[in-house]
Amino acid sequence: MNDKGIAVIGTFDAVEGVRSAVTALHQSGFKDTTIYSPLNSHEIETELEPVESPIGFLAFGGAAAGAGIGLLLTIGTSIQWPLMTGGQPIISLPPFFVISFELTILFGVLATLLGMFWQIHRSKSDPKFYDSRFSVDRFGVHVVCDEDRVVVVKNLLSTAGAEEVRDERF
Amino acid sequence: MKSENTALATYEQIHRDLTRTLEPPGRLYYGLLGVVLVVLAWAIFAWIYQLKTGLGVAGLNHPVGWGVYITNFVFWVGIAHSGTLISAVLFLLRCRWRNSIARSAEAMTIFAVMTAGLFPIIHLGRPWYFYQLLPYPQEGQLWVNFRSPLIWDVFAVGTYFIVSVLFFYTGLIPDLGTLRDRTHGWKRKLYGFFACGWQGTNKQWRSYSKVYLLLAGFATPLVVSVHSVVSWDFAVSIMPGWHSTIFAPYFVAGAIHSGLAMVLTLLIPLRRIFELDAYISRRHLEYIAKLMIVTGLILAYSYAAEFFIAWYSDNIFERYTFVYRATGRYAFAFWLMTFFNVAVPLLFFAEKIRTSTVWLFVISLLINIGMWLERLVIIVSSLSRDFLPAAWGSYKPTWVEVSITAGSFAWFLLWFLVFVKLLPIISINEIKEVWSQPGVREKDER
Amino acid sequence: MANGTEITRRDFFKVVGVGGAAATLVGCGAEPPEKLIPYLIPAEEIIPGVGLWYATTCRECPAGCGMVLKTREGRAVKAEGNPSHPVNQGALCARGQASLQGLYNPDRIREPLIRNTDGTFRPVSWEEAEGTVAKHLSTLRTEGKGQRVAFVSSLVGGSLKQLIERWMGALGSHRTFIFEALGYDGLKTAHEILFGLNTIPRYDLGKSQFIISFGADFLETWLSPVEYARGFSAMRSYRDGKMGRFYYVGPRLSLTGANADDWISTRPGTEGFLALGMIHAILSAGLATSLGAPGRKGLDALVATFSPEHVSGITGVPEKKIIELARAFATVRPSLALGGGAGWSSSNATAAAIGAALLNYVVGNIGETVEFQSYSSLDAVSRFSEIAALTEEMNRGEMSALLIHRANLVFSLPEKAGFRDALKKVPIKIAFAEFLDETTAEADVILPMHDPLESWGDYSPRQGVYSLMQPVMRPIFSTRSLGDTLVALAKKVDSKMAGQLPWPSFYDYLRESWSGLQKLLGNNEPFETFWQQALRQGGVWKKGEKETVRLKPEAVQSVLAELRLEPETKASMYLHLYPSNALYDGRGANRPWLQELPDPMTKITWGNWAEIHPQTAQKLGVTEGAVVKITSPFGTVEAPAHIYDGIRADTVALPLGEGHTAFGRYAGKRGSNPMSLISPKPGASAASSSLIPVQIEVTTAHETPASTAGNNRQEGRGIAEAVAISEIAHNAKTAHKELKQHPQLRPPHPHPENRWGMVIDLNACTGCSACMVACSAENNVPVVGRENILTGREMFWIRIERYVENDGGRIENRFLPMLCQHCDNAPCEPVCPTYASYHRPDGLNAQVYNRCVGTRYCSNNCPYKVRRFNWFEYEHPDPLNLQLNPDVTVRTKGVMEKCTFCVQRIRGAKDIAKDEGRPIRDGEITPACVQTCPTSALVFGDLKDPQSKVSQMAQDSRRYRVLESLNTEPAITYLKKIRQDNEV
Repeated sequence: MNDKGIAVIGTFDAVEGVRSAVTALHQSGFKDTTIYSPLNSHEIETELEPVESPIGFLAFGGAAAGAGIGLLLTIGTSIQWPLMTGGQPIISLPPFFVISFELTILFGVLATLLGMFWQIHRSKSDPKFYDSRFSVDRFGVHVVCDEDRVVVVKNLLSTAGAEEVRDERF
Repeated sequence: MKSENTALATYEQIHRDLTRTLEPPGRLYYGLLGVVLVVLAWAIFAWIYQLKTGLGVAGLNHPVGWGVYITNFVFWVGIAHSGTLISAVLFLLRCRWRNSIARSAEAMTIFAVMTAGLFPIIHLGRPWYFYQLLPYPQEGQLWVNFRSPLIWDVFAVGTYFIVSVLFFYTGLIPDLGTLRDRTHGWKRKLYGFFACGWQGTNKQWRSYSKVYLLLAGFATPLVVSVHSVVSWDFAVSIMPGWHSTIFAPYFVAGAIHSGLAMVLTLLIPLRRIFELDAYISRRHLEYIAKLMIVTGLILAYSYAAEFFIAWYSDNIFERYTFVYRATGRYAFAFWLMTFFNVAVPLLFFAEKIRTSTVWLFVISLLINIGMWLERLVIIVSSLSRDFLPAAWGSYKPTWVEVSITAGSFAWFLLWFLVFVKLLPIISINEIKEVWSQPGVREKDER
Repeated sequence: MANGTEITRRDFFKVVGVGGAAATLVGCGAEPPEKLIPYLIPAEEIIPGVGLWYATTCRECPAGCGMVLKTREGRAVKAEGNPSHPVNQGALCARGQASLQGLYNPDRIREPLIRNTDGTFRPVSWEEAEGTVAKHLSTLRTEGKGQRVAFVSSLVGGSLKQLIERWMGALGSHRTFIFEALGYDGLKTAHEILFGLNTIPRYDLGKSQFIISFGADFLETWLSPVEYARGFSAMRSYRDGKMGRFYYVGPRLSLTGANADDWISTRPGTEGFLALGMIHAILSAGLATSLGAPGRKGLDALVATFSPEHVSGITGVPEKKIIELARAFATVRPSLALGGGAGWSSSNATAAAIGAALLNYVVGNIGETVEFQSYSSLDAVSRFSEIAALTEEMNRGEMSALLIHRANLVFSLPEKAGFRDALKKVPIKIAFAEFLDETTAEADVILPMHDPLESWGDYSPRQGVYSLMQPVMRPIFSTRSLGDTLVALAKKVDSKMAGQLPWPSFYDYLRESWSGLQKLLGNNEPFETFWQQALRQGGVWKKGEKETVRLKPEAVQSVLAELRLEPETKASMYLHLYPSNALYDGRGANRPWLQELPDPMTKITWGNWAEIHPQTAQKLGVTEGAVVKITSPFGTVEAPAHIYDGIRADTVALPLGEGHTAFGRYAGKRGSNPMSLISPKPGASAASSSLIPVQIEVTTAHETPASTAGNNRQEGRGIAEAVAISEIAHNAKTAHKELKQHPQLRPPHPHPENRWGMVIDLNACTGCSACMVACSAENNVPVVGRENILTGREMFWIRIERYVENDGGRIENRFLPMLCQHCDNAPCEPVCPTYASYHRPDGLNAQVYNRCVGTRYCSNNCPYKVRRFNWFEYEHPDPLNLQLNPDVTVRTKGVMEKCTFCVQRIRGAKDIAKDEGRPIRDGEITPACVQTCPTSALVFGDLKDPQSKVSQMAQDSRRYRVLESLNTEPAITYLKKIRQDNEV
């Protein structure tokens, strides 16, 4: 995002409007758009370019770490405490896999969530562009543009069916 | 009131309908809360009595070391399962109808695990040393025995609880953002804190989708593993009637069966009280009922398989246990459980029955009872008649066990009552997802 | 016990003669009890943490077994058999093991008591109590009423009995009675009639090859059960394809009967006729070869009317069987017939005793397996007729004072005998007692007595066995011994009486008496050496001298007078009473261990019951636990029914021992006393009248007997196995094949040093249950009480499982001691989340109480169900807590416990071996159960050592392991019970 610029925010009451607005904006070369939506709309998502997300790697890393910790914990402590039970070997892998499995899931989930918080936080936009209706029944399209193209953007948004269009400086 | 045939609503209307549950409670709520608190207080008294006097106040004895407490543990863990099944497994299977019921099912999961988790502690001889079951470095240099299925339980149920809470919380984040934007004062602060800066931007939604998918992916094997581990509490033993390879899938199916029943038991009154028929429609209930036909049939197969293997194995201990199960002291419980869990759900083949809330409600209660009895039968009938006839015995629960069992339901309901007034019981954003805009009709997906 | 044990015992048990040191201790009787002994000035022998053993004599029944008492820090903690004692050779029965609970009984009388005018008691000082007694006695003496004083004592040892008689003589009375509820009147009468000997011979069961018992329950209560059990097991041991035969005759299948090859169920009271029938058969077959012509002639006449055919009609035993039995008895030599129940209470005891004695006589067993000696301790016991005469005198008001020492006549005499009422007519009643039992409660002055374990004394069960009793610890309460009290009283009555009893204390009297014995034995050592030696070994023994026996010529007529089966007493139901294995005649009823000890046959604890045959029960509509009202011509009792197929359909049986109305918290108000059903006149000459007809009515009440048994059928599971004697030799050839291990998934345990293990010979185990009490005593196993038994919370670490094989009539009993099997692949271990249960390198399955959180999974997963959970915090009421073994933890509520193979003993023996720089010797370690087993059915040792006894026995062809198919690899190997091939 630019340090200085103008953001134009259009408010829509339906996904269809947002979709046509985004299409129009893209065609006109406005790439820096953010969409606010009260629901997880896959229709909007398809209009936007896919973004590389590191969450998958985080999840995998967490899971792998969990599996490793599980095995280390069980095997390591069993060696520390070589107590025989039921004629089983000190390192009884099948039961240890159970522990390892549970920790795989646990650490995988924890890593995934950490990733999510980080991502939510990272993709947060300035509260002044946000409208509390965006979480209930309105969609928002927020375009950052140069001063001279504000009118074009506003027109594009209105044409697409925006109920209202405003601009904010930052 | 929204009737089903006029399933039309705006997002605003959806929002209003679904947050109506958060309005200040009425007399019914306080009445229920009062009953719950009284029962809970009585159960706490019973537990304190047990702590002071010793576990002997329960009906447990020498051959029968486990009874109602472990029954309750398995029962409640089982209840927990369908929450995850509905929210994670059906999510992965793209069954969008889950959106109406996933939230309350997940809440049920958490509260059920919280209830289940009490019982391994309550049933201990020395509950004040329950922390010795946790792996942590300590003065006495004790360590846990990872070969014990009870330690697997600690890890499995512990992980399950953490993951369920996080999964539930993840699902709540967009709704928390909504609530933050529609409330004031401390509530706004509270919801705002937990919303973590949710704005519903497309990037947030994208991460969120991915995370939700991953969590569902993690939760699915977890849920299977948890009840498998619970079943291994029995299956890794050498007790006839426990020592069985089918226990893991059998218990998982049973868990889902009972969990679905509990979902129905909770949802049917909820949709009635909060007038949510438009969102939790008969169709949803019908789908659950259909699922229960499947789980009921899996159980039927499992019951039959147990008996077949007992006969086919030619193992006298195994054979005796199953003959005893069907004809002995606990035969009434066995036949009730068979009837309630296997025969009764077959009624759902009739459309009339599976679309009638009254029928659904009654049958769901019967299945709950049946599933509770199933665990009791497995535990008690095997323990009371194991290898050495001279050591045979029997078991009868005492008032302490009955009180604590009743208390567990109170405890569970208490949390549910708190939940109902604190959070939307149906995911607002997910409902919006399945309702088209503007003005609009529920999408006719599966 | 194994011989090895005896040697090692001497090595590490410091069996000490206390001599002077202990005498000083005992002298301090009046001091308040001390719970802790300060070690500022330690006594020379006492080393903290090390047990000190004192030899003494068990006084729980007339048998007089030798005991050694382990004391720790000045208090007795464990009773064991004296290995060098000729009677019991190291073993003890359950009652002997429980003697400590007499010593530490919380209901002991703790100080002298005097009755107030309102009937209550007030505690007084010894000074006052003795003063009161002396005043009464001195008044009586001056009034010349010394004759009107009677002294009734329980069976006491020689010196004390002499002292009592001497004391009574000084008082001017010769009215001394010895009371034993089970006085074997019938047996003594029989020998009197036949041989003119009012005594009881020594029976050598070990030497016999064929035993037939006519109602003599010699494995549980009859005369000297530990000695007989040992002999019985020797006789039943398998040698060269043979094993002695044993038949039991009687209306009820007792524990002894359960150990027989067959139970010959006779119509009640007709056991003696069966014996006569056998004699008839023996004589007619010309098998009485050792008899001279004159004796034989009389016999022919005697048994003429008792042809097997006739006897078959009387007894209900087939004629063929009688002839077969007779033939076997006469040809399998040496044989032995035992007859006559414990007391006058059992049916036709005299007739049975006569029959048995004659049988022995006829085939020449007398002098072989039956040794008459110059006396037995029971000779001194007063006949019931004498007690009845005393009662009469009391009733007539002819007795001015009655002194009673530890004899509970009110409880043990038939209610109709009216002793309680007679007692009320005696103006002065002085009780020398430990407990406030039914008789003591009637006394005016109660002088609290030492427990036998606190007293000096001696006891000679028969000629040649002179046992000493010494105090094993300082008295707990303000009590004194009878001897000391008598000496002190004499001094207070008047100077003349004091002059006749000049000894300063009973201790001095005893020494003097033993110095006389020394001379008699021809021992020339200095007395002190002799005395110390006797104290150290528990007494002096030499071989008894046989008395020669001749049949009295007039015997025949007397016998015929005895043998009547009165037709008018033919009723549909008869009564059969028997002394309880645990409670004996009722004196054990205040010992919680004995109350909780399951009856070996019925497995019922805490309370009595009426045994009813299933057919009769069905006829009467009686179910298990239904309270039935049993009415005899003399009284009525109510008891819960126990349906039992070891009783004849025409007989109802009740155990003696319960029904106390006083006698402390454990005995009181429990069950009903069947003594009230007994005839008040079963005099020595009216044996037939002990056949008591009864009527049974079902009441609406229900009282579930507190049984520890689950199911006594094996359900085809091969748990308690048996093998036919003819198969053993064949099996031995193929045994090595059986020994081949199953293929194992995992490598076997290494066991670097030892592998502790046990072999249990089911052929030797009689089911007597002594091991259970020994284990509880050694390991601080709590007593849980009736309510907890009912809910299945018994705590025994070892139990005797009784399995019944009932293949259409013949009931085969198998007793299986079940304790922790210390499995190599123990199912209990891996399921414990906290490692509280784990496996030690020496093969022990250890339970660490501190780690246990009480999930009870280990117990659930134990196929042998030997783990015990502490459901509550169990109490050891003061001073029972003093008995607790300091080497063993007392477990708290919420933890699991179980048999440890007495790990404290293993530890102790290892320490000693280490100090002495040697490996542990085989037999050095004996867990409590093994130590006390009268039949050596349990053998413990190191399975790693191929030379050890346990390893050797574990190779026996009879070996098997319980639930072997589970692959638990238990450390306990069982040897199958041996079954005779054919009848007779």
